[in-house]
Amino acid sequence: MISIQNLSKVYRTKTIETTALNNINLDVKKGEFLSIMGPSGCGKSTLLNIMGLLDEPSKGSVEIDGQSISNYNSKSTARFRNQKLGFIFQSFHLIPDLNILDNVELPLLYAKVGRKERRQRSEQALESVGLKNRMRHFPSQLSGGQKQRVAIARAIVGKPAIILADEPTGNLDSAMGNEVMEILLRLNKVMDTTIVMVTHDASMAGKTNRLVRLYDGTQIQ
Amino acid sequence: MIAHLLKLIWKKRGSNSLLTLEILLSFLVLFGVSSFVLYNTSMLDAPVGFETNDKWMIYLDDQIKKDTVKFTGILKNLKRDLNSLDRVNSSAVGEIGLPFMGATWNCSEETDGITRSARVAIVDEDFAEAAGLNILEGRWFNQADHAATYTPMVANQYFIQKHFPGQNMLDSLIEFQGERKIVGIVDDYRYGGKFEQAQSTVFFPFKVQDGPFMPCLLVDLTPDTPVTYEETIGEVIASATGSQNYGMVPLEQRRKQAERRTWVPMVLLLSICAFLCINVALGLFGVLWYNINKRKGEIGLRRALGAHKLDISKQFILEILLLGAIAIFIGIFFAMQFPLLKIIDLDTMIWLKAILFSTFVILGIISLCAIYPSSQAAKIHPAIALHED
Amino acid sequence: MFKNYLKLALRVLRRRKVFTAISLFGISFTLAILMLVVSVLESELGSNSPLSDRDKMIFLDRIVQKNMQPDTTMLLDSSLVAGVMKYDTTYTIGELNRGTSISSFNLRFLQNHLSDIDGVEGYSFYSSLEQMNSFVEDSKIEMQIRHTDVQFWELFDFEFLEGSPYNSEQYEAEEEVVVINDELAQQYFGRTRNVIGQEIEYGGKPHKIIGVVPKTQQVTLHANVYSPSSTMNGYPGDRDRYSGAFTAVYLANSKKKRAQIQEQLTHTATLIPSPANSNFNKFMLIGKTSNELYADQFMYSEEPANAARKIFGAFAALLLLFTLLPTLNLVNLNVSRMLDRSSEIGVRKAFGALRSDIIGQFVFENIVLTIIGGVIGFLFALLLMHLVNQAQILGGLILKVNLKFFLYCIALVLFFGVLSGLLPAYRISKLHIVNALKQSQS
Repeated sequence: MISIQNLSKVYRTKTIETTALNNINLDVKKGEFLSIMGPSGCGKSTLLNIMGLLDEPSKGSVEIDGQSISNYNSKSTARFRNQKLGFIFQSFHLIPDLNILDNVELPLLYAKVGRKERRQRSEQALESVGLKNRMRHFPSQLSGGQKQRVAIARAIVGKPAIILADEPTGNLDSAMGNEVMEILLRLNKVMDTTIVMVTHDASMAGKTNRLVRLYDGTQIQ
Repeated sequence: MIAHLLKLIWKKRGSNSLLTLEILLSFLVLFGVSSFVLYNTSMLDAPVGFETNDKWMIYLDDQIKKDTVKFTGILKNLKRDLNSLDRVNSSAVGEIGLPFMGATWNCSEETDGITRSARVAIVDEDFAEAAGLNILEGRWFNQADHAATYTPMVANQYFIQKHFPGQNMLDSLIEFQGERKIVGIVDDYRYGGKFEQAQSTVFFPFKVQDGPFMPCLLVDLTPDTPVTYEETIGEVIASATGSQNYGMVPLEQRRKQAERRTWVPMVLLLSICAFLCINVALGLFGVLWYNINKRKGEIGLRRALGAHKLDISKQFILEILLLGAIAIFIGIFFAMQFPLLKIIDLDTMIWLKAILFSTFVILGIISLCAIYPSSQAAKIHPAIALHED
Repeated sequence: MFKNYLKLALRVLRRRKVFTAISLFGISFTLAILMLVVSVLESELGSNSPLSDRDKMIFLDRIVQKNMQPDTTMLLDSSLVAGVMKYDTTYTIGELNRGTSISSFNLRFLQNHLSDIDGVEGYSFYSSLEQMNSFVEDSKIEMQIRHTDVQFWELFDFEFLEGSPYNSEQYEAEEEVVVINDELAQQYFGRTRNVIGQEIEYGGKPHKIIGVVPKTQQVTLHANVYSPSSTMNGYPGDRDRYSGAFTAVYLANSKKKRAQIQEQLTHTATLIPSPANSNFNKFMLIGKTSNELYADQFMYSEEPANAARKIFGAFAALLLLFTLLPTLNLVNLNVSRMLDRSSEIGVRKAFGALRSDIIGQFVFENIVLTIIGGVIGFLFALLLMHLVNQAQILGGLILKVNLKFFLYCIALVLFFGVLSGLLPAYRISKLHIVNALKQSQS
């Protein structure tokens, strides 16, 4: 599903060159739930961003769903993200000025899906995370766990092949974290969605199919 | 401290450049408007050289001028009849250069390589009394002047000072539209009103002649003459000229109209300028407020490192003042071109005052806008601020 | 999509009250002033009755008469050539201006020399205002009389409230008939209708009213009494005088043909003979377009096109400066307001929004804001117009609201909205997703 070869990422400022990722090779199979672990600043978020086409590699190639995306322009990457990828962030990133339903609808809006279908699919996605009754609420009225469940609904509403989660439980207490983790595991099993998750919680990582460890931008396991 | 702040400003030059541009523009607008206002108000103190209360201007039907010989008689009779009215103190005839008449005649003459120029007023021997001119030296025209060897003229002080500085010109002969003898010198005579710049004006005695100008009369009345008196005067005019066709306007009304032409744009400009200032002030306030909220982390860090509350507000106020100073500095560079290159010829003091005024207003606005947001910033607790990042 | 954006925009505005209030203040006030300016320009320079054909007209309001005399200038040039001083004298024969007279025309002169211009659809000669007084029941009424020919009423489309203009038979017969404006009718009779057939008296003679027109805003055409030129004293004026009180106007059949008429007039000027008893020997006839005629009020020039360009240019520059400052202010505010939502931009981009989507959204939001400001501004402009009309700040100019004015205002609002939204939206859309998402938000 995702194939990464000889990937490096270097940040340059006028004076300093920082290597965030160094020669990473990684293959994620379809339907796999992969977690990436490592200490702060090891480059795990950068790796996830590159997989999500949010950032570009300095060297190496990334292939997603059999397509090489290195020569895509910004328009095609946006389209690709919209159709193939779903994102979950540590700090939820819900839009405070939109209600829950409108937040979930967002990917469909950019996919130019009709109003009726948008509405129906968003409700479905919210139902699957158990928040259909809150769809008229605004993000500020929800708890952290609920917010993250809305974020999951938003990630899955476009039926993407891959979900990329950046520390989805990082801002939650363990009970809420487990709840979110349960949803992700169920998604992986039932819908056969490929999930790549960055975390530094070993117990969460333990629940996934495979674990990759990074240290100082290098893959160590 | 300043170097440290300059570094911060430079780091964020992207967003600061628009802010600087805005302050610069406000400065320039303020500079423009304040120099215009200062220029006009600077002239308010100087006397115009004539009086306007209880004086009426009378315009005559230009058909009656056709026969100049007959017209001379008509004017003579008209003046006599008017003066015989109990409310009329005096009356005078003139054909150009009367107060607020609108038409101007400028003469410029080159004698021996020196160019002398002046506005010309052509008025009769009663004009000084009727208009309330202030004669500084010598005398006004009199009846005898018509038979005099040299055509007499009266000049205003400005003319003498400009063309013959430091000389006693009374009774001198000069070459100006023919050889003329200066019989008197009057104060400034700004017949366009208070907002007119002082300039050279000379008076030539009036004599009925064929020409493009239509003579009119200036009548000095006793104080508090009612408007209805117009009809009485009208009857006199009608019987003396044989024409119903005449116009009559109180000089005071003409003065107000003339001054309104400057007051209205001045007030309009000032109010638009005030609006722009309020607008910019509110905008600055919004931007500062946002920026300070955005930099809670930095503030927390500074607090944690031991900065006092006052240091924090001082830092923010200084930072924005510094930004303003940069903009004003550029603004002054542009503004200084006016007195330096004499693009518009005004008293240098006016430009300088305008620059000073604009600088203070802009700095005032900036500090006013910065006080509230920076005091909010100072209230941020170090722990909370650090947590935010 | 549209509905979503609208909902979002309104919610965003409601949530950030301070920003919204500050922005609205600036927008509404700026737009109100601009609307006021538009309304003044529309009443002064718009193609409205009686000047509906203003774009096809050439006005000839002055004759410049000059007394030119040959003048010889000797120029002595010295130069050092091979150690020997050489002198070179040149004589330039030029012309020296000994006197200039600028005035409007004598009617007879116009009829003799300027009624036969090629390519003209129509022309009219009319006088400047003549002031006369009339006393009605102890109060003075000022008559401002304009003498016109019959064609005047064809070229200028006055809308007659009642009656009709004078025709050629009446003109030829020198009948004492007049067209008055409604203001005078009100002053004189206390009513603006049913005054046809009544008489007004001035200059010791009664004049029969045959038509009533509304008071016009156009300075060049304003009068409260219009009377046939043939009834003037001494019509049509002295034989050998060129200067008088008349102006000529020519109507071209298209905007383009105007230039030809102007050229014709310039050419005609060279054919004018010197008048008897005068040493004027050079004449200039400068036809002006209506805009040039307007600009001429503020700045006299022998090249009216140049003067018009200067006046309108200076005005445009002033207006630009006035608009630039609030726009810049709004841009600054918008940048802050949008940066505040960088997380939102990040999320939208992550889920597939294009840059154009982001720009579109923010420009749209800004347009919504501007429209709200525009509505407030419009109401404010109405108030200002009312005050201006009441206090007669612009002389007799009465500002009116019409459909054209309304459309101009809408265009103004949209323009302002796009202008002040585009730059910040463009800047914000460039934000890199990863950086945008780093700004932690809930």
